[in-house]
Amino acid sequence: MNAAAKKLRTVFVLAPCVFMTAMLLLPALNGLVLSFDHHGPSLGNYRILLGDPMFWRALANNLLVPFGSVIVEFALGLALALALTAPRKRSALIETAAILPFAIPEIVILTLARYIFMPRGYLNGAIAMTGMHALPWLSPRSSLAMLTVIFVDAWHVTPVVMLMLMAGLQAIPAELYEAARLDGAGTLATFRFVTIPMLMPAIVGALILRGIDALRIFSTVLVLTGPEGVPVLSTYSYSLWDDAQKPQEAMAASMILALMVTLIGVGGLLFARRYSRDNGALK
Amino acid sequence: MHPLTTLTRSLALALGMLLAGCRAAPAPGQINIALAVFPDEAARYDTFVADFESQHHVHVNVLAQTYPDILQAMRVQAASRGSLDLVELDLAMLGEAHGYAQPLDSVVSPSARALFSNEAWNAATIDRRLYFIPHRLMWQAMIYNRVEVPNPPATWNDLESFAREHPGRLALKGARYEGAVCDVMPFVWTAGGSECAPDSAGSLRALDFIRQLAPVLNDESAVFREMSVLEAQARGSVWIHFNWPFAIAYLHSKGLAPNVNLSAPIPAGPDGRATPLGGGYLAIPKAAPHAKLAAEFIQYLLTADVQSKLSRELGWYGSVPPPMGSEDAQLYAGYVAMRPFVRARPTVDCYADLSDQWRRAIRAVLFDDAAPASAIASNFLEAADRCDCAESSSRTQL
Repeated sequence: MNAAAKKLRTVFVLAPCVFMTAMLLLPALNGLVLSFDHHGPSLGNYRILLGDPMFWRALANNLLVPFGSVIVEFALGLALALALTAPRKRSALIETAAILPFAIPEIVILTLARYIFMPRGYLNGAIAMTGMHALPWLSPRSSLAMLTVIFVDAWHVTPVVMLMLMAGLQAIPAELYEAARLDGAGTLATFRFVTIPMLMPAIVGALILRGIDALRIFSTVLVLTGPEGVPVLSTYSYSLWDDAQKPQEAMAASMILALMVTLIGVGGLLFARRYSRDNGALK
Repeated sequence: MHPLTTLTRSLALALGMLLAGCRAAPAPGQINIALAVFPDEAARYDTFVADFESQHHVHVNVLAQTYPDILQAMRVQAASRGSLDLVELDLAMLGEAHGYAQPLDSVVSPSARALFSNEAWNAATIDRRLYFIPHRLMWQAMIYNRVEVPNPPATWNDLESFAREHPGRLALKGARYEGAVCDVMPFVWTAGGSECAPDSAGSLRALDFIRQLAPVLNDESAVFREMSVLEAQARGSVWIHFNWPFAIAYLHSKGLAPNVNLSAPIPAGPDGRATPLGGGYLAIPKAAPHAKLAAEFIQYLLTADVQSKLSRELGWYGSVPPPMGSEDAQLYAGYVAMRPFVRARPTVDCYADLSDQWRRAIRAVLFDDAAPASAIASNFLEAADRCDCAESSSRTQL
């Protein structure tokens, strides 16, 4: 390697390091320090959070909403992936419709969802036309609002899961299906004993990726219900910073969210590594 | 030169430019004003300041920001340096912000003081020094659907009767933000209470009243803010709510006022009427690079002609009442009627804490069915540790 190449290598390593330090590491450390600043170094901000009922609602919702969302995304994503990789004539319309929610900018799809689900929105308009009572889809603090948030979040991100699973499905050798058919396996048996085991690496990858990403839910909740309707930790933190003008408490809430995402993320990665080490056999 | 060397140098140059760009270099002949306006309002403000620009041969650069971001920028500028020459702050922030602002006593002439009442200036005066000037004063009134509610409620009793007869049609801005305090404080004040005395008999009486309204409030009151409750009023989901003058202008722009919606006074309580003073005050931040020019701009603003122009061209109702008999007079009738009953919230350093405690207590009463006394006890600090807050000013004659 000549001197110029060595220099270039140093620059390519150094530039991202400087950038990451300036844009990520230093702000994160500053945030950590800020979260312990309550008229001097103390745990005061964390103590205040623990005494706030809305914090506990936000924490619980921050587990429930992503959990529900990932389940719906996985079920819909798998169904769509199976439908779109089935050996028959494909419909470009269905493929486009399946990918469209992810292709549309998030704020557009969320605003659209708000118009659909708001009290006098399109959905309730349609329900009223059938002679039934309108439903409070986004009523603050209701279970229905949480289900609506889960559905909208899943609607937006399902194409990601679908694409990951489609890639996995297309990698399964056709000979395996042929062998299963010759052995007399039906559709369900083929799905259970061929498709699912062969698709497992893609499933694990999709669930871990989306599981971690879903914990960071923010805009769906903010646009649909506001910070108080179905609070999650990120909207709770945002509200403390913006509405209450309490950056220290906001940072404490953010640190709790960061810790939660890190722990679950590391857990997921360890699981994926173990799965990979065991040659795909789930223990 | 070797291509790799060129690439290396280019990358180093780009990094250097990136770092250099982080430094704020104030442009000469330009004052930067941070206003809490929407981008379209900022464009109209640009047009409004054209006279000043031509008279003083300077460029006024209007930056549309939110109040919290402006306050944060002031904090940063006070601690080091920055490029803001003039900032607009919400009345609720003045207590904290005065520490980051320059005194303006010498900038404001006695004739300029005559443009606003003493009470409006008092809200901007801290420790006997003037730190802010009124920029656009406003206060709340009741917005009502005149088709569904031909006779708007005039008293607490009327309001309660309306709410019970029409469940879900009365809304409060109950999200955990300053708007909740602005909606509830008129009830507190007119019951003889005060934001500085949350456990006084008057404050508890007011909270007890809003607790009675809670079961029949619009469901979305728990998340309503200025714009969302206004949208609900425009859609017809809500028939009565309390809001700032921009609300009636918005409804008018949608063709929903005065034919469907109008403004009326906030219902009177046992002690009469009250409404919170709000709006923006201007300040010159510490370390402002062009403080002298900023002071000249303030003096330009504080003339009767410019105030009329400000009100006319920007549609900011407040400092200048609408002409009698005009459509604006009909639209803003509720605001005109509330003018004698405007009160300022306390301008104290710890207002953010005090307000946050009120917000939590209000929400506990409205949405968790907490008894007022227990909501106050569990959300406010002990009296000795509480925000040292003087009684709010009495009614402000604007």
